[in-house]
Amino acid sequence: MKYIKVRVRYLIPYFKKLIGVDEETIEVEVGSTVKDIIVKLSEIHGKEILVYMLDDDKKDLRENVLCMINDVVVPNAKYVVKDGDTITFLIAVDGG
Amino acid sequence: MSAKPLFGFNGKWLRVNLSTGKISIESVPEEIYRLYLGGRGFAAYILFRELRPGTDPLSPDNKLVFATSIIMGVPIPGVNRVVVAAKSPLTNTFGESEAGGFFAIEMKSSGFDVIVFEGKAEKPVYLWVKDGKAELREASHLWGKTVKEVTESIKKELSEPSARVACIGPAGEKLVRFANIMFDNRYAAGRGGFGAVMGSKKLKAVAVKATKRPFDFYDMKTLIDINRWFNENWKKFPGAVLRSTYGTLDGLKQLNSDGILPTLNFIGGSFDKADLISGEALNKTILLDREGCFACPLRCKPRVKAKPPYETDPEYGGPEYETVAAFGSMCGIGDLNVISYANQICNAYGVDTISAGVAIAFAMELFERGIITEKDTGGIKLSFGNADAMLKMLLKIVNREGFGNVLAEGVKRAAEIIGRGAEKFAMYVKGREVPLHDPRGKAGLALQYALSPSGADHMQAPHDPIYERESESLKALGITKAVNRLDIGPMKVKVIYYAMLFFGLEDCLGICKFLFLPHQVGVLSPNHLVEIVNAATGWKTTLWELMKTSERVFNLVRCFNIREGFSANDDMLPERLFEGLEFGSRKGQKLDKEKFLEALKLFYEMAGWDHDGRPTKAKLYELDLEWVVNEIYKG
Repeated sequence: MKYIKVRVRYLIPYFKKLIGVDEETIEVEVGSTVKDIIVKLSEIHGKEILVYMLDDDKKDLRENVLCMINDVVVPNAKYVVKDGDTITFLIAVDGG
Repeated sequence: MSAKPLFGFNGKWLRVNLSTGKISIESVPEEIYRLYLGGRGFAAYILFRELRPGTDPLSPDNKLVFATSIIMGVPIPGVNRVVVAAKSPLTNTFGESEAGGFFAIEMKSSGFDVIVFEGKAEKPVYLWVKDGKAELREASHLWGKTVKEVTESIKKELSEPSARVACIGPAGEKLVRFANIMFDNRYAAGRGGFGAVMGSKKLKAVAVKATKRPFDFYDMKTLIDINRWFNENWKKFPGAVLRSTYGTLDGLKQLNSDGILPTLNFIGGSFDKADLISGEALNKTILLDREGCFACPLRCKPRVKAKPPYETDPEYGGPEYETVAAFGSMCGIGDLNVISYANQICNAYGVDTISAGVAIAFAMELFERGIITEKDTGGIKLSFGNADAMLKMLLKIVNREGFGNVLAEGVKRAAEIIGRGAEKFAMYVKGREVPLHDPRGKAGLALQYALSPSGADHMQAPHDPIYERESESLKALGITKAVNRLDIGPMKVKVIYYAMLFFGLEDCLGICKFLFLPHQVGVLSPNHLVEIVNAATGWKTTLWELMKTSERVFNLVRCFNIREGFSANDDMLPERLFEGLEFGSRKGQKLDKEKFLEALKLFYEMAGWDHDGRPTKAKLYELDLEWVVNEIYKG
């Protein structure tokens, strides 16, 4: 099994609190998707992560949660990450 | 034979002629409810039919509409907003503003889905409505009083401590063009100057009270089930939890780091004191507690107590994002105590915090550039960052004193009065001050600002980051592909068009845009909305019919403006937005004017409008607006 390292950043204060750090580096298998990263995070930090980061069908990101890979927002959780990528979870700031 | 029972509405509108004192009740058929739903829809229907083109917004001929909707009163979070509309004295366009809280539900429960005010009273009055009965009462003793004084006095003299009160402060009486209407001291129908419309009619307040609900909903069980689902699930949505924790200030720091927090009159996009005015800072310093609107567990509205010498009364609530950015980053003020005090002045005297803050930031830039001097300002050193000067000028605006009298006209008219090149720094669209979101970092917002029928408005559609990913709620609206926030090509035009229709639907229904997806805070889906409408009314409607209704209303308000002489030339943004941001992480970024104009043209075509932005006859016929055709195709 080959592994890659990715940096994960949390810009959502709620996630920071849940996870306990602003950012971390984790190891995942080659070919992992954003969804796989979230599953990995839940193995490290607890299953609660899945509730907040994934929708009820556990298929895609929870509505309004954005995921940026190296400063570009990806359209869904099927996006495959690469070694050295920076993955940022943030909220889609809206009007109000 | 008994009449078919009505579900979801009273079928009664109240008409109050302030000139004659006559109050009449009109029965309105279900067909009108189905075609217009409520809120913006009813307002558009009434104002287009009843106002003559060219009506002076501050004359007795203008009409002021308070409208609820077919779903107002359902026990579901986010359904609580009263829509106030008239021809706007700030823009001369169709004008509309909404306020949350509890007033809309109380008004509808008092027996009337809509109240229309016309004419002008000889001396100050207020309207008192209770359980299907309405009367005008003397208000001379309330004239000149601030909002809290009026609200408390009315409740006391009616011996109705739980009545809901909408009123104007002294700024509305003095016809400040962005005077607002305050509801229960801290909920505002802020934008567009309807406080001035009330002031021009000598209408100081409207108080409503119901002891029972005269209408039924068709399927209460479904409504209660949706409420239960919401309460069991909203904490799974990070956006909703953030809003509940920090209120609308939840995104300020992110906007700042993204380089699009409007700063110093939109010169730049980052404020070095952003941390001091963030949601986190507010929670740690002056927050007392949070409260919510009817049935809403998020409780996003802050009540604050600022520290001396800027001590505030929690009864006036606390500053939210737009207010914090308007008096904070825009004016260079990094002190939440000062901002809260400014918020209180606005609420007590009754002016829109966005227009007031943007007007002062505009004047500050003119002062810094030497276009105005202390001679103009009456000795006030109106530099960016000067808190004392900001508060002094705000008091002058609400009292229409000195240079404040100029700014009380709004930045468009103020720039014309000042001359000397001031226009270049006036941030407005169709006469209304630009709210605190910068389209240079979210390009679709430029279309919303340009195409909002009421002038610059940040709540015409979700903002661009929402569309950067796929989601079920967007797919339900027919938006299937993700599109970058800086894109302003054909895909973005389609997205904004559809999304404007959806937000327009929410304005017809009196909905808080936060709680429905697609929005940063959203929990309920567009399909929930259809379920709610059907459960309330017993109809078997679809998202298709509801979106077409919104399209009907969108075209009707567009036609209102066209009849007033507005055209494609007015769908234009301030020149500054086509120039690069001068500082912040997006330094140099600007809107591409050529692409923006292309996008506008494409929007017109998608909407079924001609090259001048006028709905085609075919579009009007399609939307059952044949009665409008002759009005805008004369000759």
